[in-house]
Amino acid sequence: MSAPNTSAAESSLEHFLKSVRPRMKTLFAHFQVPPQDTEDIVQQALLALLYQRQEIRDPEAWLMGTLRNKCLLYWRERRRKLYDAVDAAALEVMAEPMAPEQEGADVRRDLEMAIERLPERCRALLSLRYSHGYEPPELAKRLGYSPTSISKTTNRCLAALTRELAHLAMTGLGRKKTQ
Amino acid sequence: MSEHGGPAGADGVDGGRGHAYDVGQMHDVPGAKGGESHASTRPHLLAAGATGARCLESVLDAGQGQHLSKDVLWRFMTGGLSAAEMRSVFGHLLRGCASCRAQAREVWNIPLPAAIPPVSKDAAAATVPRPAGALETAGQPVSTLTNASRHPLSPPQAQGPLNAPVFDATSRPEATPVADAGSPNEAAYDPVLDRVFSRIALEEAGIEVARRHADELFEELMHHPPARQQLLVHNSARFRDRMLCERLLAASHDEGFREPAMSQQLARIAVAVAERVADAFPETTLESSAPAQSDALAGLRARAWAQLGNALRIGSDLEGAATAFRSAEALLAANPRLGLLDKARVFDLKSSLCRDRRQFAEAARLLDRVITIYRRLDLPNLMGRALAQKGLLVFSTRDVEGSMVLLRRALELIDPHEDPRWYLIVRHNLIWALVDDGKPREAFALLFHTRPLYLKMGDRMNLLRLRWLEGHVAQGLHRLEQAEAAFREVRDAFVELGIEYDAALVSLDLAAVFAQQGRTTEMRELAEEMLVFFEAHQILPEAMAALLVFCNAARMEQAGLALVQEVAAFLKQARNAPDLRFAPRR
Repeated sequence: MSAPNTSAAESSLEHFLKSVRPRMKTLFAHFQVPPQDTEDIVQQALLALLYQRQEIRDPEAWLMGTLRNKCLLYWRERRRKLYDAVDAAALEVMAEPMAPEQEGADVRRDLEMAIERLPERCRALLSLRYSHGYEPPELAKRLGYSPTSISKTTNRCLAALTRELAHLAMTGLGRKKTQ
Repeated sequence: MSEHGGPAGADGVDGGRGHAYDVGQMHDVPGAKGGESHASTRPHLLAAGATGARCLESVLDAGQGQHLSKDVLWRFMTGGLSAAEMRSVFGHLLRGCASCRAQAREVWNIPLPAAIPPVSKDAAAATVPRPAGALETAGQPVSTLTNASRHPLSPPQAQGPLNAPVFDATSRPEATPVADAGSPNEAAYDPVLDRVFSRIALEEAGIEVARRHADELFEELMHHPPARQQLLVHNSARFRDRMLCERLLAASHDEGFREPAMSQQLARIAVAVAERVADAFPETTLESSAPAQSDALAGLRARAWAQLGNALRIGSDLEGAATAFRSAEALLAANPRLGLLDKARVFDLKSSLCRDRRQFAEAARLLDRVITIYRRLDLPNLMGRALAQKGLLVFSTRDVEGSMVLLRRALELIDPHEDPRWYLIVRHNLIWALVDDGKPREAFALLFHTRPLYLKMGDRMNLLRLRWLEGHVAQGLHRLEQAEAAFREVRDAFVELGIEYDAALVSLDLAAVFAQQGRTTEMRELAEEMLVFFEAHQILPEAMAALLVFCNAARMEQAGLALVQEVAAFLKQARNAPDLRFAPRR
């Protein structure tokens, strides 16, 4: 009794995977997720589908929604790494006691120039962070942000700072002014 | 496995962009030695102090003409390097290396410096996050760093890293990578999908067998007393079974409606099984599927803890429930890639705890998250259930109108054939809300069409709830004799079944009918009966105190409709909030 059922289930799954395959490829290409990084995303979503199939009425819609969400999360994690790197680098620069005076002045000027080009609220937040070493909860208290939203706000400011620093790095504008 | 969780063995999918990135992946740029090399540049922003920078610099110093490859630049901009590597690459760029700048411009599709205008502060202000509560305004593009559309190869609506929502908070276009650096074509996904699909097919083949096996284990486990069950789960590898855990969770959920103590016991075993399965995880899983399995197991553990929390809540152990939910939430926090359905389940159950603790705002916030998840996953049935729960929550805050709006939306989403129990629950609550909102005729019409659903369900509790509702509607229509008959019938049944609390509530409904008719003698007799019954049974002390106030007033023939309604309202609230204190208005 069980063999025909199992084979029916398999062929049904095979059919399903065949039908969703083109949409999945289009989705990943649309989100530009590198192929080698899609393996986990696809596997996790399909395993969840298998184990929770009884609760899912439209598997194709569910799968595409889940994959879309996982692609967004994938890039969110990547962006967070970029911002964290910039944040850590900026904190290192400002806290660096050993660098030669001229060198320290140059890099600090680059950072300050990048911050100067940001909107007022980001300037206030990042200045407090890098000049006074404020942590997010202290920033929230000082600047009147909600404690629950401060990390998101800080991330946005870091995103803006990253853009400006990339701008300076690419164009060398900061250097030109100092030379 | 890469640091971002990519699977092992995926290397080589897209040719030169191997999976395991090595920071030494730098290439010689012809002519760089004669141009602006690292040695000729000034000290850079991040050189000192950073471990990764030192690592990178040792390569640069050795080669003198070495620079960042397109791949490294792409991975830097998309967060694909380790933290130390990212800092060092960033430092190299800030150092002002002309070759790498040119390379980066090409990879990130950045126009030449001459084309870069100064940033407009006014426009930029639109991108600024505001304090909580402030509205965001639409912004203008402020940086031509990022003019993706200029590049002929850039995809028209790419959703990659550089124009994704957070990075691009105000629809500011960002640099888009050129196709050869970061945009794989669709065919490149075929090998990956082939691999995953074949693994999933194997998993699917085994899943039915695993379900049957889990059923057998469950039956075996249920033959033992609770202490022995725990022992078996801890000591016997046979019971470290994921499907068994799923089976226990489902059983615990079902028992929650019937027998809270049994529901708790099953949830405790489910937690033990989930933890044992997680402990055994590395031994039993193929390496290639490890990250996905790890997330799935974390989801299972979170759901098991949440189910235990829910079972404890139903058994009125709110502190124990809160502790169990803390464990579930810790798992959610530690595993950000957890499945949305797992998250929704935890939030859903937690919202019930918040409602019982009268933390209505938090409960509503959690339910909103659940609704958002189900909407995103396109699961109308589950979304309907969540809306129904929110409707009940809103009803608890005395917003009958708002509650009815939510319940009606829920009814549109729940399929009566697929989910008849929930459909009936929502209809029942809507009818009750209609009577409370002074619309008994509408309630009567809806009840007429809903009656077959109760009869179809058939179980005694559902039929008693139908009868209670009929009494409530009849009372709303001022058909007080019909209401009295219904309430008496339901009260007697609850007394017979030993369901004291509901017996108290329906007795107060009956008292309200007597009060409306001015039948003080019958009310006094009813109060005497209630007192005898509730003194012989365990009932919450505060609820008993409220009932005593009513009984004393009834004995003195001073219990009016207002007092009856006040005591009834208190009893409904105190059922899930034993800390509430009864303070009669007069």
